[in-house]
Amino acid sequence: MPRIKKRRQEIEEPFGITPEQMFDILITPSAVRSWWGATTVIIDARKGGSWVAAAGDGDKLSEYVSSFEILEFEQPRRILLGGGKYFAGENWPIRTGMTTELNVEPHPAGCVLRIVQELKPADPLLDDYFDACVAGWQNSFEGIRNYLHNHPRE
Amino acid sequence: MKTRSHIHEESFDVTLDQMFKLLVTPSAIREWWGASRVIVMAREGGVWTAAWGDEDDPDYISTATLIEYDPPRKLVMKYGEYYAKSGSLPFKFADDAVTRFTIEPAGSGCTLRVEQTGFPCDPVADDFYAACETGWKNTFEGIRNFLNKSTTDTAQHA
Repeated sequence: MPRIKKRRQEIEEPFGITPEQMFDILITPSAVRSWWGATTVIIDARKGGSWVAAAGDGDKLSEYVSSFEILEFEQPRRILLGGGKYFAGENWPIRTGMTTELNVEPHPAGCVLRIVQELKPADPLLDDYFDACVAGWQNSFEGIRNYLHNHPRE
Repeated sequence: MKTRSHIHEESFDVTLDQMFKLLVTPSAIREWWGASRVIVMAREGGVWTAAWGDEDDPDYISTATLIEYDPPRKLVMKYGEYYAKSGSLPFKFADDAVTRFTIEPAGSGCTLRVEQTGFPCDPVADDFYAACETGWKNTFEGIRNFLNKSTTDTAQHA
């Protein structure tokens, strides 16, 4: 039986806003819609809550949906998302088991956002999914910059 | 824990497929349940979540996992934490609480039955239990209004 290799990625970038402002951007549905490119976002922002985003035609059956349970919620520094599920049609293994840790730390420029993702792919499709997530977070960092450009903080 | 349930059942003049579809289609759920936003992973193990009120400051959020997804006959949901801006519920549902939708043929249409289990018998849950009884009546009325509107829209666009 082939050994399943654990996948892990860690990326971080500094931003010119306070940790409190960054944390807010990570849990505010209208902001997440903007920087994540989602059509509908529903977040129950607390430990035991949920973080769900849908892209595509949200009016009908959503084409792509990502959901997580909020395992840890330490405002304004850390959110641990687990119980990952991803829906992209009938052939997808819906449970990804991915965890995503969002860390916000003070920095001379303002704050640093660090994302740590871990996944033990039990299916080749999930290996591809993890690769897509790596690219996805790089795009999301750019999305957050664009969001801040369009919504400057005081 | 001693528990109690709600059961509500009504007949509709639509096919089983049409009824099942409206239970898992976000745009339909928004209409018949009056939700502001809905996201559904229409698969076993998927999520079914709805929010009411302002996008960034919702009044309520209801999130469930679809523990059985058997179109067009059965949909069973296990609810997670319920969020209300006004505060938490003063009780916990039983661990095995579920909401079960079953759809059966009836004449030229179908019967939709919902069973919501796991309400504690404790008097502290009485108000919420009563509100849910009214809520299910309103929900079925919402489904009927949605279907009537859909029929009217289809006729107007025919």
